[in-house]
Amino acid sequence: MSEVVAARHKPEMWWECEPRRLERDKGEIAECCSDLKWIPQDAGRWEGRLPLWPFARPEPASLRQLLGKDGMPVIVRYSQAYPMVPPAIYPLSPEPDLIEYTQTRFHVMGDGSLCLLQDDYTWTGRESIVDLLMKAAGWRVEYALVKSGLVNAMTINGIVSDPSRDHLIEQAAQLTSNWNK
Amino acid sequence: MDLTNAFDELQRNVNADIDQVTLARDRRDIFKKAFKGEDDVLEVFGSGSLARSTQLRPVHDVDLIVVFDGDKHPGWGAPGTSAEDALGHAQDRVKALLGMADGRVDQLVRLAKPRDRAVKCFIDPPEQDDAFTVDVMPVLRQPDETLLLPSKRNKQWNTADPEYLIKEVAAQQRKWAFFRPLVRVLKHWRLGVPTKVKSLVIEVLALQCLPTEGNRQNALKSFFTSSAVEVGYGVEDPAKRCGPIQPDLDISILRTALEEARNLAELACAAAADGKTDEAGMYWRDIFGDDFPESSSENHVGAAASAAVVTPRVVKDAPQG
Repeated sequence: MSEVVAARHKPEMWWECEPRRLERDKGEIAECCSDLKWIPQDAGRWEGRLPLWPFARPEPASLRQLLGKDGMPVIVRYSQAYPMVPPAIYPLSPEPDLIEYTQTRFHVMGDGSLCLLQDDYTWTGRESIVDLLMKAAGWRVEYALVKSGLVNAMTINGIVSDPSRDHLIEQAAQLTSNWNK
Repeated sequence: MDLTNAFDELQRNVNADIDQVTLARDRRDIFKKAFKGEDDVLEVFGSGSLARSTQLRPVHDVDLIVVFDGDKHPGWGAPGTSAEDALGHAQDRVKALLGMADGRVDQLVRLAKPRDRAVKCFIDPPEQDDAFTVDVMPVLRQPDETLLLPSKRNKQWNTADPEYLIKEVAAQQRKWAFFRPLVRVLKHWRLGVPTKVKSLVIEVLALQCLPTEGNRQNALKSFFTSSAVEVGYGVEDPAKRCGPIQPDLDISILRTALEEARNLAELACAAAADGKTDEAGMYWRDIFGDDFPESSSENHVGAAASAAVVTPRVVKDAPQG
Protein backbone atom coordinates (compact mmCIF):
# COMPACT_ATOMS: atom_id res chain seq x y z
CA MET A 1 0.00 0.00 0.00
CA SER A 2 2.76 2.41 0.97
CA GLU A 3 4.48 1.63 -2.34
CA VAL A 4 1.35 2.71 -4.16
CA VAL A 5 1.28 5.95 -2.17
CA ALA A 6 4.98 6.50 -2.80
CA ALA A 7 4.51 5.90 -6.51
CA ARG A 8 1.60 8.29 -6.58
CA HIS A 9 3.69 10.99 -4.91
CA LYS A 10 6.87 10.37 -6.89
CA PRO A 11 7.99 13.75 -8.18
CA GLU A 12 7.88 14.14 -11.91
CA MET A 13 11.21 15.04 -13.50
CA TRP A 14 11.44 17.77 -16.08
CA TRP A 15 12.84 15.34 -18.65
CA GLU A 16 9.77 13.13 -18.22
CA CYS A 17 7.72 16.12 -19.37
CA GLU A 18 10.28 17.25 -21.95
CA PRO A 19 12.01 14.06 -23.15
CA ARG A 20 12.91 15.58 -26.51
CA ARG A 21 14.65 18.45 -24.79
CA LEU A 22 16.89 16.12 -22.82
CA GLU A 23 17.74 14.21 -26.00
CA ARG A 24 18.54 17.48 -27.72
CA ASP A 25 20.81 18.58 -24.85
CA LYS A 26 22.59 15.23 -24.79
CA GLY A 27 23.18 15.36 -28.52
CA GLU A 28 24.44 18.93 -28.54
CA ILE A 29 26.69 18.45 -25.53
CA ALA A 30 28.15 15.20 -26.91
CA GLU A 31 29.09 17.11 -30.03
CA CYS A 32 31.04 19.94 -28.45
CA CYS A 33 31.58 19.22 -24.73
CA SER A 34 32.17 15.48 -24.76
CA ASP A 35 33.92 15.52 -21.37
CA LEU A 36 30.68 16.36 -19.60
CA LYS A 37 28.77 13.44 -18.09
CA TRP A 38 25.03 13.34 -17.48
CA ILE A 39 24.03 12.58 -13.87
CA PRO A 40 20.27 11.94 -13.62
CA GLN A 41 20.00 12.74 -9.89
CA ASP A 42 17.54 15.27 -8.43
CA ALA A 43 16.73 17.57 -11.34
CA GLY A 44 19.80 16.33 -13.20
CA ARG A 45 23.24 17.80 -13.83
CA TRP A 46 26.29 17.60 -16.03
CA GLU A 47 29.74 17.17 -14.53
CA GLY A 48 33.11 17.37 -16.20
CA ARG A 49 35.35 19.74 -18.08
CA LEU A 50 34.41 22.36 -20.61
CA PRO A 51 36.53 22.68 -23.76
CA LEU A 52 39.47 25.01 -23.30
CA TRP A 53 38.84 27.12 -26.41
CA PRO A 54 35.54 26.20 -28.16
CA PHE A 55 35.35 29.42 -30.15
CA ALA A 56 35.29 29.89 -33.91
CA ARG A 57 38.69 31.55 -34.10
CA PRO A 58 42.25 30.30 -33.64
CA GLU A 59 43.37 29.51 -30.11
CA PRO A 60 45.87 32.17 -28.94
CA ALA A 61 49.40 30.81 -28.72
CA SER A 62 49.83 31.45 -24.99
CA LEU A 63 46.43 30.22 -23.86
CA ARG A 64 47.68 26.94 -22.41
CA GLN A 65 50.53 28.74 -20.69
CA LEU A 66 47.89 30.87 -18.94
CA LEU A 67 45.22 28.28 -18.22
CA GLY A 68 46.91 24.91 -18.42
CA LYS A 69 46.06 22.23 -20.95
CA ASP A 70 42.62 21.27 -19.58
CA GLY A 71 39.32 23.05 -19.72
CA MET A 72 37.51 24.28 -16.65
CA PRO A 73 35.76 21.65 -14.49
CA VAL A 74 32.12 22.60 -13.87
CA ILE A 75 28.80 21.38 -12.56
CA VAL A 76 25.88 22.32 -14.78
CA ARG A 77 22.85 22.03 -12.53
CA TYR A 78 19.32 21.90 -13.90
CA SER A 79 16.20 22.85 -11.93
CA GLN A 80 12.83 21.22 -12.43
CA ALA A 81 11.78 24.45 -14.16
CA TYR A 82 14.11 23.68 -17.06
CA PRO A 83 13.90 24.46 -19.96
CA MET A 84 11.97 27.62 -19.03
CA VAL A 85 14.66 28.52 -16.48
CA PRO A 86 18.28 28.16 -17.63
CA PRO A 87 20.60 25.79 -15.76
CA ALA A 88 23.14 27.13 -13.25
CA ILE A 89 26.81 26.62 -14.08
CA TYR A 90 29.21 26.35 -11.14
CA PRO A 91 32.96 26.67 -11.80
CA LEU A 92 34.96 24.22 -9.67
CA SER A 93 38.48 25.34 -10.58
CA PRO A 94 39.05 28.19 -10.38
CA GLU A 95 36.44 28.81 -7.74
CA PRO A 96 35.61 32.49 -7.42
CA ASP A 97 36.52 34.03 -4.07
CA LEU A 98 33.60 34.82 -1.79
CA ILE A 99 34.31 38.52 -2.15
CA GLU A 100 33.81 38.21 -5.90
CA TYR A 101 30.25 36.92 -5.51
CA THR A 102 27.56 39.30 -6.86
CA GLN A 103 30.21 41.54 -8.42
CA THR A 104 29.27 42.45 -11.96
CA ARG A 105 32.90 42.71 -12.99
CA PHE A 106 33.31 38.99 -12.23
CA HIS A 107 29.85 37.85 -13.46
CA VAL A 108 29.37 35.61 -10.42
CA MET A 109 26.01 35.14 -8.71
CA GLY A 110 25.44 35.09 -4.97
CA ASP A 111 25.46 31.29 -4.91
CA GLY A 112 28.77 31.00 -6.74
CA SER A 113 27.26 30.11 -10.11
CA LEU A 114 28.10 32.15 -13.19
CA CYS A 115 25.92 35.10 -14.16
CA LEU A 116 25.71 34.42 -17.88
CA LEU A 117 22.52 36.32 -18.73
CA GLN A 118 21.77 39.85 -17.60
CA ASP A 119 18.06 39.72 -18.47
CA ASP A 120 15.49 37.01 -17.87
CA TYR A 121 13.93 37.55 -21.27
CA THR A 122 17.12 36.59 -23.13
CA TRP A 123 16.47 32.94 -22.30
CA THR A 124 13.08 31.83 -23.63
CA GLY A 125 13.57 28.10 -23.11
CA ARG A 126 14.28 27.33 -26.74
CA GLU A 127 17.94 28.33 -26.87
CA SER A 128 20.75 25.81 -26.78
CA ILE A 129 22.43 24.93 -23.52
CA VAL A 130 25.67 24.91 -25.49
CA ASP A 131 25.44 28.69 -25.86
CA LEU A 132 25.67 28.92 -22.06
CA LEU A 133 28.55 26.44 -21.92
CA MET A 134 30.42 28.51 -24.50
CA LYS A 135 29.92 31.64 -22.40
CA ALA A 136 31.18 29.72 -19.35
CA ALA A 137 34.30 28.68 -21.28
CA GLY A 138 34.82 32.34 -22.14
CA TRP A 139 34.33 33.27 -18.49
CA ARG A 140 37.30 31.06 -17.59
CA VAL A 141 39.56 33.03 -19.92
CA GLU A 142 38.32 36.41 -18.79
CA TYR A 143 38.59 35.42 -15.14
CA ALA A 144 42.29 34.78 -15.68
CA LEU A 145 42.68 38.15 -17.41
CA VAL A 146 41.00 40.01 -14.53
CA LYS A 147 43.00 38.09 -11.92
CA SER A 148 46.21 38.95 -13.77
CA GLY A 149 45.40 42.61 -13.25
CA LEU A 150 45.54 43.43 -16.95
CA VAL A 151 41.87 44.35 -16.98
CA ASN A 152 39.64 45.51 -14.18
CA ALA A 153 36.44 43.82 -15.27
CA MET A 154 35.10 41.20 -17.63
CA THR A 155 33.35 42.30 -20.79
CA ILE A 156 29.59 42.69 -20.61
CA ASN A 157 28.80 40.20 -23.37
CA GLY A 158 31.61 37.69 -22.92
CA ILE A 159 34.23 36.72 -25.49
CA VAL A 160 32.53 33.89 -27.42
CA SER A 161 32.44 36.00 -30.59
CA ASP A 162 34.54 38.92 -29.41
CA PRO A 163 38.28 38.71 -30.14
CA SER A 164 39.06 42.12 -28.67
CA ARG A 165 40.84 40.65 -25.64
CA ASP A 166 42.66 37.77 -27.32
CA HIS A 167 45.85 39.80 -27.56
CA LEU A 168 45.90 40.19 -23.76
CA ILE A 169 46.23 36.46 -23.21
CA GLU A 170 49.92 36.46 -24.06
CA GLN A 171 50.60 39.39 -21.70
CA ALA A 172 48.63 37.73 -18.92
CA ALA A 173 50.55 34.49 -19.45
CA GLN A 174 53.84 36.43 -19.17
CA LEU A 175 52.74 38.16 -15.98
CA THR A 176 51.58 34.92 -14.41
CA SER A 177 54.80 33.08 -15.27
CA ASN A 178 56.88 35.96 -13.85
CA TRP A 179 54.94 35.74 -10.56
CA ASN A 180 55.55 32.02 -10.43
CA LYS A 181 59.31 32.33 -10.85
CA MET B 1 14.32 40.87 -49.62
CA ASP B 2 14.53 44.19 -47.80
CA LEU B 3 12.57 43.54 -44.60
CA THR B 4 12.09 47.23 -43.88
CA ASN B 5 10.34 47.71 -47.22
CA ALA B 6 8.38 44.49 -46.66
CA PHE B 7 7.07 45.75 -43.33
CA ASP B 8 6.22 49.10 -44.91
CA GLU B 9 4.18 47.23 -47.52
CA LEU B 10 2.46 45.13 -44.85
CA GLN B 11 1.56 48.37 -43.09
CA ARG B 12 0.15 49.89 -46.28
CA ASN B 13 -1.95 46.76 -46.83
CA VAL B 14 -3.34 46.86 -43.30
CA ASN B 15 -3.91 50.59 -42.93
CA ALA B 16 -7.30 52.01 -43.70
CA ASP B 17 -7.53 53.96 -46.92
CA ILE B 18 -6.71 57.57 -46.10
CA ASP B 19 -9.73 58.84 -48.05
CA GLN B 20 -11.99 56.56 -45.97
CA VAL B 21 -10.44 57.83 -42.76
CA THR B 22 -10.81 61.46 -43.86
CA LEU B 23 -14.45 60.90 -44.81
CA ALA B 24 -15.15 59.17 -41.48
CA ARG B 25 -13.58 62.03 -39.55
CA ASP B 26 -15.49 64.61 -41.59
CA ARG B 27 -18.77 62.88 -40.81
CA ARG B 28 -17.85 62.60 -37.15
CA ASP B 29 -17.04 66.32 -37.10
CA ILE B 30 -20.47 67.16 -38.52
CA PHE B 31 -22.02 65.27 -35.59
CA LYS B 32 -19.71 67.04 -33.15
CA LYS B 33 -20.62 70.44 -34.54
CA ALA B 34 -24.32 69.62 -34.42
CA PHE B 35 -24.33 68.45 -30.79
CA LYS B 36 -22.00 71.18 -29.53
CA GLY B 37 -24.74 73.66 -30.35
CA GLU B 38 -27.17 71.98 -27.95
CA ASP B 39 -27.73 73.77 -24.66
CA ASP B 40 -27.89 70.55 -22.63
CA VAL B 41 -24.58 69.23 -24.00
CA LEU B 42 -21.30 69.89 -22.17
CA GLU B 43 -18.78 68.00 -24.34
CA VAL B 44 -18.62 66.00 -27.55
CA PHE B 45 -15.63 63.84 -28.49
CA GLY B 46 -14.72 60.84 -30.55
CA SER B 47 -13.85 57.50 -28.96
CA GLY B 48 -13.08 54.06 -30.31
CA SER B 49 -10.31 53.13 -32.68
CA LEU B 50 -10.65 56.20 -34.92
CA ALA B 51 -10.00 58.46 -31.93
CA ARG B 52 -6.99 56.33 -31.02
CA SER B 53 -5.79 56.12 -34.66
CA THR B 54 -5.74 52.34 -34.46
CA GLN B 55 -8.55 51.81 -36.96
CA LEU B 56 -8.44 49.04 -39.54
CA ARG B 57 -9.76 49.01 -43.04
CA PRO B 58 -12.55 49.29 -43.95
CA VAL B 59 -13.69 52.15 -41.73
CA HIS B 60 -17.43 51.71 -41.49
CA ASP B 61 -18.28 53.04 -38.08
CA VAL B 62 -17.35 55.95 -35.86
CA ASP B 63 -17.92 56.22 -32.11
CA LEU B 64 -19.00 59.52 -30.64
CA ILE B 65 -19.50 60.36 -26.98
CA VAL B 66 -21.91 63.16 -26.06
CA VAL B 67 -21.65 64.36 -22.47
CA PHE B 68 -25.01 65.75 -21.40
CA ASP B 69 -25.58 68.14 -18.53
CA GLY B 70 -26.91 66.05 -15.64
CA ASP B 71 -28.57 69.10 -14.10
CA LYS B 72 -30.80 69.39 -17.16
CA HIS B 73 -31.65 65.67 -17.07
CA PRO B 74 -32.13 65.05 -13.36
CA GLY B 75 -33.46 61.48 -13.73
CA TRP B 76 -30.51 60.22 -15.78
CA GLY B 77 -27.93 58.03 -14.12
CA ALA B 78 -30.44 56.25 -11.90
CA PRO B 79 -31.33 52.57 -12.40
CA GLY B 80 -34.51 51.89 -14.34
CA THR B 81 -35.75 53.41 -17.57
CA SER B 82 -33.49 56.47 -17.51
CA ALA B 83 -30.89 54.72 -19.69
CA GLU B 84 -33.56 54.16 -22.34
CA ASP B 85 -34.76 57.74 -21.89
CA ALA B 86 -31.25 59.05 -22.56
CA LEU B 87 -30.90 56.97 -25.72
CA GLY B 88 -34.37 58.13 -26.85
CA HIS B 89 -33.38 61.74 -26.28
CA ALA B 90 -30.16 61.28 -28.27
CA GLN B 91 -32.15 59.63 -31.07
CA ASP B 92 -34.60 62.55 -31.20
CA ARG B 93 -31.77 65.08 -31.31
CA VAL B 94 -29.97 63.20 -34.11
CA LYS B 95 -33.16 63.28 -36.18
CA ALA B 96 -33.77 66.97 -35.49
CA LEU B 97 -30.18 68.03 -36.12
CA LEU B 98 -29.02 65.65 -38.84
CA GLY B 99 -32.05 63.77 -40.20
CA MET B 100 -32.06 63.29 -43.96
CA ALA B 101 -35.52 64.77 -44.31
CA ASP B 102 -35.21 68.01 -42.36
CA GLY B 103 -32.04 68.10 -40.26
CA ARG B 104 -31.32 71.59 -38.97
CA VAL B 105 -27.51 71.34 -39.20
CA ASP B 106 -27.09 68.78 -42.00
CA GLN B 107 -29.12 66.16 -43.82
CA LEU B 108 -26.97 63.11 -43.26
CA VAL B 109 -28.76 60.39 -41.27
CA ARG B 110 -31.16 57.96 -42.93
CA LEU B 111 -32.05 56.03 -39.79
CA ALA B 112 -31.24 56.37 -36.08
CA LYS B 113 -31.88 53.28 -33.93
CA PRO B 114 -31.19 53.07 -30.19
CA ARG B 115 -29.16 49.98 -29.30
CA ASP B 116 -28.04 48.89 -25.86
CA ARG B 117 -25.56 51.71 -25.17
CA ALA B 118 -25.63 54.01 -28.17
CA VAL B 119 -27.81 55.25 -30.99
CA LYS B 120 -26.70 53.73 -34.29
CA CYS B 121 -27.03 56.36 -36.99
CA PHE B 122 -27.03 55.02 -40.56
CA ILE B 123 -25.52 57.33 -43.12
CA ASP B 124 -25.56 54.65 -45.84
CA PRO B 125 -28.72 52.62 -46.56
CA PRO B 126 -29.16 50.25 -43.57
CA GLU B 127 -29.53 47.21 -45.83
CA GLN B 128 -26.11 47.84 -47.41
CA ASP B 129 -23.26 45.58 -46.34
CA ASP B 130 -20.86 47.44 -44.07
CA ALA B 131 -23.14 50.47 -44.08
CA PHE B 132 -21.35 53.48 -42.60
CA THR B 133 -22.70 54.34 -39.16
CA VAL B 134 -21.99 56.78 -36.38
CA ASP B 135 -22.66 55.45 -32.88
CA VAL B 136 -23.77 58.28 -30.60
CA MET B 137 -23.51 57.47 -26.91
CA PRO B 138 -25.19 59.82 -24.43
CA VAL B 139 -23.23 59.90 -21.15
CA LEU B 140 -22.88 61.84 -17.92
CA ARG B 141 -19.59 63.11 -16.49
CA GLN B 142 -18.98 62.18 -12.84
CA PRO B 143 -17.04 64.27 -10.31
CA ASP B 144 -14.00 61.94 -10.58
CA GLU B 145 -13.90 62.60 -14.36
CA THR B 146 -15.12 59.09 -15.25
CA LEU B 147 -18.24 58.68 -17.37
CA LEU B 148 -21.61 57.06 -16.70
CA LEU B 149 -22.71 54.98 -19.69
CA PRO B 150 -26.33 53.91 -20.21
CA SER B 151 -27.34 50.27 -20.70
CA LYS B 152 -30.89 49.95 -21.98
CA ARG B 153 -30.79 46.16 -21.73
CA ASN B 154 -29.74 46.08 -18.08
CA LYS B 155 -31.72 49.20 -17.11
CA GLN B 156 -28.69 50.73 -15.44
CA TRP B 157 -25.72 53.03 -15.94
CA ASN B 158 -22.11 51.87 -15.67
CA THR B 159 -18.92 53.72 -14.85
CA ALA B 160 -16.27 53.68 -17.59
CA ASP B 161 -13.22 55.66 -18.62
CA PRO B 162 -12.75 55.41 -22.40
CA GLU B 163 -10.52 58.48 -22.35
CA TYR B 164 -7.93 56.50 -20.36
CA LEU B 165 -7.17 54.20 -23.29
CA ILE B 166 -7.07 57.12 -25.72
CA LYS B 167 -4.45 58.84 -23.52
CA GLU B 168 -2.42 55.67 -22.97
CA VAL B 169 -2.23 54.84 -26.67
CA ALA B 170 -1.23 58.44 -27.43
CA ALA B 171 1.49 58.24 -24.76
CA GLN B 172 2.92 55.03 -26.26
CA GLN B 173 2.84 56.62 -29.71
CA ARG B 174 4.86 59.57 -28.43
CA LYS B 175 7.51 57.11 -27.22
CA TRP B 176 7.69 55.11 -30.44
CA ALA B 177 6.45 56.09 -33.88
CA PHE B 178 5.61 52.50 -34.82
CA PHE B 179 3.24 51.87 -31.89
CA ARG B 180 -0.10 52.74 -33.51
CA PRO B 181 0.84 51.26 -36.90
CA LEU B 182 1.82 47.95 -35.26
CA VAL B 183 -1.38 47.88 -33.21
CA ARG B 184 -3.22 48.02 -36.54
CA VAL B 185 -1.06 45.20 -37.85
CA LEU B 186 -1.81 43.09 -34.77
CA LYS B 187 -5.53 43.84 -34.92
CA HIS B 188 -5.45 42.66 -38.50
CA TRP B 189 -3.50 39.53 -37.47
CA ARG B 190 -6.24 38.58 -35.00
CA LEU B 191 -8.67 38.09 -37.89
CA GLY B 192 -6.79 34.88 -38.70
CA VAL B 193 -7.17 33.48 -35.17
CA PRO B 194 -9.73 30.64 -35.27
CA THR B 195 -11.99 32.20 -32.63
CA LYS B 196 -13.64 35.58 -32.25
CA VAL B 197 -11.20 38.05 -30.74
CA LYS B 198 -12.42 41.61 -30.23
CA SER B 199 -10.03 44.18 -31.61
CA LEU B 200 -9.97 45.90 -28.21
CA VAL B 201 -8.51 42.71 -26.68
CA ILE B 202 -5.51 43.01 -28.98
CA GLU B 203 -5.22 46.74 -28.36
CA VAL B 204 -5.11 46.24 -24.58
CA LEU B 205 -2.57 43.41 -24.95
CA ALA B 206 -0.46 45.72 -27.12
CA LEU B 207 -0.58 48.37 -24.42
CA GLN B 208 0.87 45.81 -21.99
CA CYS B 209 3.17 43.78 -24.22
CA LEU B 210 4.28 45.78 -27.26
CA PRO B 211 7.67 47.42 -26.65
CA THR B 212 8.10 51.08 -27.53
CA GLU B 213 11.63 50.91 -28.90
CA GLY B 214 13.75 49.03 -31.37
CA ASN B 215 12.71 47.72 -34.73
CA ARG B 216 9.38 46.29 -35.77
CA GLN B 217 10.53 42.69 -36.11
CA ASN B 218 11.88 42.50 -32.57
CA ALA B 219 8.92 44.41 -31.17
CA LEU B 220 6.50 41.95 -32.75
CA LYS B 221 8.52 39.01 -31.49
CA SER B 222 8.43 40.48 -27.98
CA PHE B 223 4.70 41.14 -28.26
CA PHE B 224 3.87 37.58 -29.25
CA THR B 225 6.19 36.18 -26.56
CA SER B 226 4.82 38.34 -23.73
CA SER B 227 1.17 38.31 -24.71
CA ALA B 228 1.10 34.51 -25.01
CA VAL B 229 1.69 34.57 -21.25
CA GLU B 230 -0.26 37.73 -20.43
CA VAL B 231 -3.46 36.50 -22.09
CA GLY B 232 -3.58 33.68 -19.55
CA TYR B 233 -4.23 36.24 -16.81
CA GLY B 234 -7.26 37.57 -18.68
CA VAL B 235 -7.61 40.81 -20.63
CA GLU B 236 -9.35 43.50 -18.65
CA ASP B 237 -10.26 47.15 -19.05
CA PRO B 238 -6.93 48.95 -18.51
CA ALA B 239 -8.80 51.74 -16.72
CA LYS B 240 -9.89 49.07 -14.17
CA ARG B 241 -13.55 50.03 -14.55
CA CYS B 242 -15.30 47.46 -16.69
CA GLY B 243 -13.64 44.11 -15.96
CA PRO B 244 -12.93 41.65 -18.79
CA ILE B 245 -12.96 43.14 -22.28
CA GLN B 246 -14.44 39.99 -23.80
CA PRO B 247 -15.92 37.60 -21.22
CA ASP B 248 -16.58 34.89 -23.82
CA LEU B 249 -13.03 34.97 -25.21
CA ASP B 250 -11.61 31.48 -25.80
CA ILE B 251 -8.28 32.18 -24.16
CA SER B 252 -6.69 28.81 -24.99
CA ILE B 253 -7.24 29.24 -28.73
CA LEU B 254 -5.86 32.79 -28.67
CA ARG B 255 -2.88 31.70 -26.56
CA THR B 256 -2.08 28.89 -28.99
CA ALA B 257 -2.22 31.34 -31.90
CA LEU B 258 0.06 33.76 -30.04
CA GLU B 259 2.51 30.95 -29.25
CA GLU B 260 2.60 29.85 -32.88
CA ALA B 261 3.22 33.43 -33.97
CA ARG B 262 5.93 33.74 -31.32
CA ASN B 263 7.74 30.66 -32.62
CA LEU B 264 7.58 31.89 -36.19
CA ALA B 265 8.69 35.39 -35.17
CA GLU B 266 11.70 33.91 -33.40
CA LEU B 267 12.64 31.92 -36.47
CA ALA B 268 12.19 35.06 -38.57
CA CYS B 269 14.42 37.15 -36.32
CA ALA B 270 17.05 34.40 -36.17
CA ALA B 271 17.02 34.09 -39.97
CA ALA B 272 17.36 37.87 -40.31
CA ALA B 273 20.27 37.80 -37.86
CA ASP B 274 21.99 35.30 -40.14
CA GLY B 275 21.37 37.55 -43.13
CA LYS B 276 18.75 35.16 -44.57
CA THR B 277 16.19 37.87 -45.16
CA ASP B 278 14.18 35.92 -47.73
CA GLU B 279 13.76 33.11 -45.23
CA ALA B 280 12.81 35.66 -42.55
CA GLY B 281 10.23 37.09 -44.93
CA MET B 282 8.70 33.65 -45.43
CA TYR B 283 8.23 33.26 -41.67
CA TRP B 284 6.64 36.70 -41.39
CA ARG B 285 4.38 35.75 -44.27
CA ASP B 286 3.37 32.62 -42.35
CA ILE B 287 2.26 34.94 -39.56
CA PHE B 288 0.60 37.73 -41.53
CA GLY B 289 -0.50 35.91 -44.64
CA ASP B 290 -0.78 37.49 -48.06
CA ASP B 291 -0.57 41.04 -46.70
CA PHE B 292 3.14 40.45 -46.12
CA PRO B 293 4.91 40.63 -49.49
CA GLU B 294 6.39 37.50 -51.00
CA SER B 295 10.12 36.98 -50.94
CA SER B 296 11.98 37.13 -54.19
CA SER B 297 13.30 33.77 -55.32
CA GLU B 298 16.89 34.87 -54.90
CA ASN B 299 18.44 36.15 -51.74
CA HIS B 300 19.86 39.60 -52.43
CA VAL B 301 21.35 40.48 -49.11
CA GLY B 302 23.16 43.70 -49.71
CA ALA B 303 24.76 46.02 -47.25
CA ALA B 304 21.72 48.25 -47.22
CA ALA B 305 19.37 45.39 -46.48
CA SER B 306 21.58 44.06 -43.75
CA ALA B 307 21.93 47.46 -42.17
CA ALA B 308 18.17 47.88 -42.12
CA VAL B 309 17.79 44.92 -39.78
CA VAL B 310 18.91 45.40 -36.21
CA THR B 311 19.70 41.79 -35.50
CA PRO B 312 18.65 40.21 -32.23
CA ARG B 313 21.47 39.19 -29.93
CA VAL B 314 21.91 35.46 -29.51
CA VAL B 315 22.43 33.94 -26.08
CA LYS B 316 26.12 33.24 -26.51
CA ASP B 317 26.77 36.96 -27.00
CA ALA B 318 24.07 38.30 -24.68
CA PRO B 319 24.94 40.69 -21.85
CA GLN B 320 25.95 39.06 -18.57
CA GLY B 321 25.09 40.21 -15.08
